Amino acid sequence: MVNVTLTLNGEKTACTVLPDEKLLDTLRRLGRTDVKKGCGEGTCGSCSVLLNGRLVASCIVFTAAADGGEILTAAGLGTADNPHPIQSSFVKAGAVQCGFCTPGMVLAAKALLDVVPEPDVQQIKLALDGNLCRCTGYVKIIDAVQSAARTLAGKDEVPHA
Amino acid sequence: MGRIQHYERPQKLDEALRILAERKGKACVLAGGTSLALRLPPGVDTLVDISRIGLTGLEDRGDSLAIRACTTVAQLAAMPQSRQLYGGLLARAALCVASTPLRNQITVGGNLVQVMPWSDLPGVMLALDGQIVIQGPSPRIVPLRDFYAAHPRNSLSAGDLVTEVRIPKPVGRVQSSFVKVGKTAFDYAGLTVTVVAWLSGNEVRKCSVALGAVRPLPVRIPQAEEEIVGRIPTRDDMIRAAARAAGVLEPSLDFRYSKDYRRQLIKVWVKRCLHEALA
Amino acid sequence: MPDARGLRVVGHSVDKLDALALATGGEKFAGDDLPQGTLYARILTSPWAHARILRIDAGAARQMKGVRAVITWEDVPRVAHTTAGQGFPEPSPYDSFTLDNKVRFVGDRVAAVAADSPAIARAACEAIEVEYEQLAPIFDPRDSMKEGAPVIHDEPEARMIVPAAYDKSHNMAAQVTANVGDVEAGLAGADVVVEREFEVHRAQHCHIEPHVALAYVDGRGRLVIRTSTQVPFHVRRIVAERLQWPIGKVRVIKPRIGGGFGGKQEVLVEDIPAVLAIRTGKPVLLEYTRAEEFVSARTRHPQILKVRAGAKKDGSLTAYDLDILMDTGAYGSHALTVVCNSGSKTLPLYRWQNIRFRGTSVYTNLPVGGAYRGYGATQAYFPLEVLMDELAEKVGMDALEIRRRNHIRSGEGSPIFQALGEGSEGVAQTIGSCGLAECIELGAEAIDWKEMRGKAALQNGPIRRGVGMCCLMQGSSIPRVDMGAAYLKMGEDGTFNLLMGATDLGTGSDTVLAQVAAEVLGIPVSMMTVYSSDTDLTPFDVGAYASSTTYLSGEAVAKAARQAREMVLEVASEILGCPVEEIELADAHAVARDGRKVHFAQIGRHALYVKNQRQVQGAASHITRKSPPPFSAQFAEVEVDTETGQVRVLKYVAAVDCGTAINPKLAEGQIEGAVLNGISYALAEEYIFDPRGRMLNNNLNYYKIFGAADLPDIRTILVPTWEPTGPFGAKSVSEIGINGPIPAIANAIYDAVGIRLLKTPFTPESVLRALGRL
Repeated sequence: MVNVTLTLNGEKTACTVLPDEKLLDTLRRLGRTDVKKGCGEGTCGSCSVLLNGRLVASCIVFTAAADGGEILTAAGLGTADNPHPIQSSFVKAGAVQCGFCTPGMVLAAKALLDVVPEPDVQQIKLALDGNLCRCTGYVKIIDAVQSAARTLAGKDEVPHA
Repeated sequence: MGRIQHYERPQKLDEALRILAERKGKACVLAGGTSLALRLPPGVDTLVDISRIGLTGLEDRGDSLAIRACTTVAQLAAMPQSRQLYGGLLARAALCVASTPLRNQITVGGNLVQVMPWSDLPGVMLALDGQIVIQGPSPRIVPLRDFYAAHPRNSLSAGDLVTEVRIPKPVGRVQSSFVKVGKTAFDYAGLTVTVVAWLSGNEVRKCSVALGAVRPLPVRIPQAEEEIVGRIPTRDDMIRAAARAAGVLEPSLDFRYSKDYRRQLIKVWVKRCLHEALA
Repeated sequence: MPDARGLRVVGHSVDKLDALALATGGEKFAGDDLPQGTLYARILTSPWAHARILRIDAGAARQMKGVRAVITWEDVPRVAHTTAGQGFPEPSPYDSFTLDNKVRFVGDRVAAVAADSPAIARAACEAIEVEYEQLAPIFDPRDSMKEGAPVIHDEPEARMIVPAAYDKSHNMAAQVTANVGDVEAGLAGADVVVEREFEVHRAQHCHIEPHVALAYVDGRGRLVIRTSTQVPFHVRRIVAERLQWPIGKVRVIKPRIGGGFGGKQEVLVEDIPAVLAIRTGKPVLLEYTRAEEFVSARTRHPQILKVRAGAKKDGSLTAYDLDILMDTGAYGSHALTVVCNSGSKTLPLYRWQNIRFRGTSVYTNLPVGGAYRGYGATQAYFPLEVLMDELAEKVGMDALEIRRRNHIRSGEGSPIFQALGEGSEGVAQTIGSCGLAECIELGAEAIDWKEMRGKAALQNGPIRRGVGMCCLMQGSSIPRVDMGAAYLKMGEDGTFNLLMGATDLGTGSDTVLAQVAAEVLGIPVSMMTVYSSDTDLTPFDVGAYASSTTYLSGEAVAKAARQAREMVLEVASEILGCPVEEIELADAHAVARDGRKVHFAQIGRHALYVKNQRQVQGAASHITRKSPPPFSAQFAEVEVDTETGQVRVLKYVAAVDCGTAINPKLAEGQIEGAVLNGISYALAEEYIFDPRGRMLNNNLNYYKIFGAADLPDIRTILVPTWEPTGPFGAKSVSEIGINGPIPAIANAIYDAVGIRLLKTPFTPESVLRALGRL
């Protein structure tokens, strides 16, 4: 077993894991069920989290390799009482249907907007290329990311979800 | 899960090499982990995490540029040198690898060593005359041309650790093109074509044509290259080069595409890539 | 005609009620928050396409540490049933067993395990020894009914429980026919005739949440199943039947669902954890892996469609002859109704003078077909809409014009409505609302039809562009079969709880139905709390399928809300001291003619605590007598690379008449999602099998579905009409969008490069072959 310390949504969390345990399994065991399992092979993106600010597919990250890392999940990005503008934009734009991909999708959007504050549609599409959604056809998700970018740039009123 | 007993997290290269030497054959190097997470090699009971031994980033080695093995594909794509050198070839190819989260995980070294038929970077590095730097019991520098003569898993021994890939800095005017063919944007390649042309005036001094996803390992196509080198290539030269590329290789089995179709893809895309690189 | 203007809640894109909780990770799905001590189930599946189990030895597996139970066919009741989550009596053959001593496809169930961890469950499955007697398999549906073909369902129990053709000794899972007039005479009298054979391929739903079910026996000995389903009430009935367990002692809870598209209209995973939970006394979770989703869940039924169509020079349509051979795979889930819908959802669209339709479903030893968005219509619109283009070309008419002249209109009926139902006779109906003419015009304008159509000859270079289109209709619910019910109650703060069986699987139906109730009651949606669905707590609903929720369950909600409204008015009349006729409800207030008003909170408190105390409530159920079709015209602009065969959709326009869009943004979302799924299906998705019937690409790395980076420019145009029988004029919207991409893209490819593709998917390789370049 390996001892691992993570900063999970801002909280220091110590845990003991199997040497080949995957971060997705650890997070869900720790109660972080907003991180979803859709394929277990790194392809669908529903298990996406930000690890040290970068989007990763947690189902193919060894937990031990994330030791000392900062992990942000959708629940850490914002809450229903205090949503992040990206989350509010997803609600307003109609970008949430079944919502299974949404926690990963909002983090993919966050990872993009942290680096590219005013992305064009092509940049948004590329940034979301590892997060599959079967419900929306992505149209409203792209709307949501554009709208969130405007909000974060102070060009829009913050939408109240 | 459950087969791995030990997780080693060395802080220095020496330490990593020592562990690999000690646990001969039972230890497996873990970098990005995207392959290992899905399939562990048989007999392995130890993972050696090399992400914290300073193997990230670029370094200037005089006439070559060293990309350290643990540099992620996303980092490679974002580096100014990747966008500048060789007409932006490295950045362009890196952005074609897998998907955003996976580009943050997959390392350059991992992509080159764990080479799958459809891996995107090996063909590019091969076209650039890259060299692999190996540390371990017998430190050595191996041209990729030799490295990919057989599968690296056969030439790398248990104590070996790939620490960087070196790319010669371009001399004179160099132009390039790259294409990846897949069913969707995020797909295992059905074909990758890399063309690099070193020019003096309009004449091609030297040319690389490398194909990925045709054979188990990436290959250079000297028969195509020789149609281009030493002249100012015409459209017919390019068509002839492409036809030779398509004729010289027997594509290995891929249940997604027929061999005939992949030959056609080679013919079309080598022609187009030559055209783009030499435009 | 009435319209939705002036409505305060309906027709507005209010935020989806659960969206914020979903976006912030607060909602729970069936696999979240497992009870302490939950065991993990796993199913051992068959490596052979067709085999008898001669011997099965689970002894070693049962002895393993951490293994709590192993079950084989010897351990479960042998109850023939269908996994199709349909109403009783199901129009699908009873040909499935929880576990059987025969396997009929690679991926079929062999045994199941419950263990302390997924890894132990996996290891235990590997430790089960099975001796098989291999039987000859059938992989081509053309072979299924040949004399001497192996019989896939040779067990005595297999049967159809509704009066429908079923011949298991010839591997025929269902057959349906319909005739209108005399097709041969119609073809003989035609000026032009086109005859073709089309093939439409197998595909998977790929909802991002796999099938998952948790089962446990509660303190009172009741079996509780929390499951990712579109049909909680059918799960309850069918699982009880399979386990021979009293139906009253089963409770099914549907939490948030991560997409379904028909894949979860299947009672597929619940029985195994239920059996294991009863055996072990512990909660048991069964979660499909992605590989299991592809192989052991359900697929779109492949079809081979032979068609003949005739037209007069003036563009009038004389005859349409459609003969479908459908591959239902190893089991007949939806085998009858999907092929029925191939006729019933396509044939009424145009005024054919003569129609002949035959649909035959046959067993093969391949993965099982099932409900999938579009449900037979997706397959049959391919031949219909390609032939419409061909007829138009032959009579020298524009593709839009031949459709304009022949499509069904408001006030018209079709003999097909009566002739074809869902496995039985249908219900005669006349079209209430039809906005198809406007869909065609608006769509053509958006794609720039006049400028773009037929211009490939003017283009140079290897890459050519073209545009194509198609028209579509679907239905809204299954008339006289589907039933939905709702219950509403008012609380002391004036807000309402809406409890219903209608199953929101991610579509937003909770929100849409709350809007219907809120509109009736004169309150904002923020005053509605919706709960769906739980067989203990919510009234019955057949579930989310057949494009029924908005139209059918919506009307049940409207009825219940009207009852509650009556009670609100009575209480308000007591408070305001004026007759109910003089009171209006608006903005959560009851307003008297003289302007005095009272807030709903006061009404709620009054009703519960002050005087004549009673529950302000409404409860209603609804069945439909019609299945009013939504209509759509869809247009694709494509680019064809004539050297590689690669087809790219550049732009896609879907103009849709769904009556009143109760929530326009959610309606658009349904269309956009369906359209992209359809494009992805038309161009990229396919099953690849090895010669033994094993799927080679059973993962999302090799079975490619479109991601954001593949998205073309999709434009949705909602064309409002008013369906008199629907809630606030609404019809369905969820399925129709997926039917368009195959024909629209096929027609656009023809426009670009002059080849008629007759087989899906339109892979680069198939395009290049059709171009004669391979």
